Amino acid sequence: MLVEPVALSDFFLSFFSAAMIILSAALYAALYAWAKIKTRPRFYWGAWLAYAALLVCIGIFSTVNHFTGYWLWLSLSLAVGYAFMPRFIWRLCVATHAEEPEHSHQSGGRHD
Amino acid sequence: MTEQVPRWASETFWKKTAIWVTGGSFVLLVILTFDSLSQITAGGSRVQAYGVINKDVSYRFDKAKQRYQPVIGGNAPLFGKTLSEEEAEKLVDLGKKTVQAKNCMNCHTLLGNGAYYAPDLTKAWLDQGWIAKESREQMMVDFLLDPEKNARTFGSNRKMPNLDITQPEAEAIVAFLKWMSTIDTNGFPHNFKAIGEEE
Amino acid sequence: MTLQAYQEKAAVCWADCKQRYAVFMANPHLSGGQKLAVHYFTVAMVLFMAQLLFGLLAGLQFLFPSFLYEILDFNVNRMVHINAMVVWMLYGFIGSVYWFLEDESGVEIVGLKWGRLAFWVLTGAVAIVVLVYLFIQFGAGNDTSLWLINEGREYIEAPRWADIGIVAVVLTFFYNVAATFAKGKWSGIAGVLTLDLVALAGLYLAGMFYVTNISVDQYWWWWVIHLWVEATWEVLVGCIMAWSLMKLLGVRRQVVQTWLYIEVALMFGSGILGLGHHYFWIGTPEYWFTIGGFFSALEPIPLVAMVVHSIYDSGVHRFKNSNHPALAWVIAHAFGNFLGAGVWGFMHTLPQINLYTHGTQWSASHGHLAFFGAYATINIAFFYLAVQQARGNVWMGGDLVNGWRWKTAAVLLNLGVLGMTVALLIAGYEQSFIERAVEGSTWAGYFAAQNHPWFMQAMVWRMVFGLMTAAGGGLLFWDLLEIGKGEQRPAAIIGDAATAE
Repeated sequence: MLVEPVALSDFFLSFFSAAMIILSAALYAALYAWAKIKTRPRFYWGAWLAYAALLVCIGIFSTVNHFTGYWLWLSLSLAVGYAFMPRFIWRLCVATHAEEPEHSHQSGGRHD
Repeated sequence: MTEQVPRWASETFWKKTAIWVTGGSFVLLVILTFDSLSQITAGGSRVQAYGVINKDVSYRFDKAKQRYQPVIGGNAPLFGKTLSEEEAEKLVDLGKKTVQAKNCMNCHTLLGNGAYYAPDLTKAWLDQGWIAKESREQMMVDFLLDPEKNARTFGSNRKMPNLDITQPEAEAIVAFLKWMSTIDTNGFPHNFKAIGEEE
Repeated sequence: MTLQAYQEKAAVCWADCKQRYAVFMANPHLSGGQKLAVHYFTVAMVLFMAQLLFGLLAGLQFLFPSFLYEILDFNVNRMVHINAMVVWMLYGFIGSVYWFLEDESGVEIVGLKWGRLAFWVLTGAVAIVVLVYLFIQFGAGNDTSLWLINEGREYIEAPRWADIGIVAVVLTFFYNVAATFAKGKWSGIAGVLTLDLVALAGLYLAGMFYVTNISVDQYWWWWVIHLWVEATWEVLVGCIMAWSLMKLLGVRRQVVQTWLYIEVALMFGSGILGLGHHYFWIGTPEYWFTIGGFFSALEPIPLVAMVVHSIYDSGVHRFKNSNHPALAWVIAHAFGNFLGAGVWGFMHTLPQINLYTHGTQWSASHGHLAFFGAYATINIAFFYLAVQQARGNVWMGGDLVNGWRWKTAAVLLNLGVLGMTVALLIAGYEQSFIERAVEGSTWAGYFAAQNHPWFMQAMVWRMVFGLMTAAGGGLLFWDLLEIGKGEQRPAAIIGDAATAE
């Protein structure tokens, strides 16, 4: 079989770690964006903490779902993808809003 | 208002990306669809020819594949009649049409898809609830013809309503269910102990 | 009362309706397309109420199986429940497009009278289909039944004659949209919208034929269901959101359109091949495990991207807006979509666990929150935008008269759906355990799980939260009829001429 199903005793871990992957990824993304917008470095610590939690969840998720062989690429792409994606989206936000007119507080300081 | 939007964040760049990503994914899906459809045509290894209803069917754990797998055995004609491939197809077709016309899918699941008010029908033909292989066909037909009188509620009080199913339709539904139980569903449902497989 | 008295009463009612309708059609605040949109929104709300009602009936049958037995069986209630949902979503989307078509293209709608005709034809057809569902329910196992009564395929049960009617109406709608944009301005939104509608209509054809082979049947059936819900609907809503963001928050067109393209790339990039997660167990080859697994894991990416973007926007725009109810529903959309589609979807999507969750209340749990979060919320937000305009672009900020009503409705609806989702999650968890893993999915195993106290109690809680949802729905309907009436203050002005090309 190409996949080995989750063991009965691991059901909860599988559901919970899957949910936590998405939630901690979102938390990491949110804290990262928040740190950027408030320019407060201590939020970065929070972001990295959330990312560490994300890595742990990916580890648990991969173990209980019996990832071997090419399925490990999925673990890797989750870890790498969720690390860089919020940064990329942030840069995209800044870049696409580069010509923001007066009423936004960001452009207020920079483009006058 | 003077800062330039970099090229990688520009509208045109993302317009092109959107087109290429969508087009690429869709082309890939079409190619996979051609391959999948060729593999699930009735008569292949994954989906059996309709004449399989003339054979004995079971569902066993396959050690090599590490999953449950339908097993086709010797002759075991349905209702004691061996049918030609065309006759079998006609019968299964009537069964499938009846299953649709009676809206079975809004209580039951078929191949796991549908509603969750009544049991899955994927391996209904093989269920141990039919007690013994010898009496199974008749029990199924009787149940379909008068589900209220022959109710099998397993203590739930949930009864199938009478859907005005005729004798030929009931037999056809049984044929359809038997044929469906031979589909290789990649090990779904797992751990299912088929009738006649009791240890 | 005598028959004559009834007739007189009916005549008075009818005259009253006609008079109200005439007043509405003379509303100077709405363009032709917007009046048509309000028609669609009205029917959408009625269907939403039907969805709630039949959902309650179906839910009650889990608790009291003999309730309405052989009168309105579970399959009928459930079918009307999910069909009303699909159709009110579509009515909301179509209405929203008619609403902004003239504003976006800069010209009057081309062939509006055909659009109006299509609305009445579609609504008449929907009414007939529902009446047949309720009073005829099922037919004999032949083509006539599939053509006239019920096709018996979940979500797209509408009989074949109605399918053809739906395609004809959608083509009329498409003609209105494409011809209007062709005559006026072709914006980026116009381009995405037009192509998306082609895909939407084209995909429906994949669900319009009968085959004996159930694997082939479900293969194409998922093309319609998945590629509508997880691809083309998302993009359609993206177009509606793009226009609304320009109006609601005053975001510039170039920014909105760039992000629309980004969304299309992410949604279609993950969603089209994400179709694979429906091809694990229907007879299709094993390679779908890999494709479905990988692309499903990618599907939450657009949702996480949205988190970053909304924080960026809230920092930049500080949620200044002219319509508080609409913004509240957009926020509900962000959370609901993230939790329902993202978290609830990913929890049971990989084949390693889906082997046990497929076809259980897990899907119902995920479905309730995802449809509500991704689509119902957006439609409701748009209804509030429409009401504001219809009342003469009046104030819809803080301290609204009877503002408690929209707030209470929003709280009840959101809590209700979330509560149902959690109850169904517990039921699904128990089911995957007892029925699937321990008992091996036999019928005895199925009923062992259904009779388990966890499941029974979950169904009671689902009913409690279902009633809460229905109360919220009723309040929402009332609020949409009343909000802004008698309001004299003009709407707050946001983002000046920001929407200009």
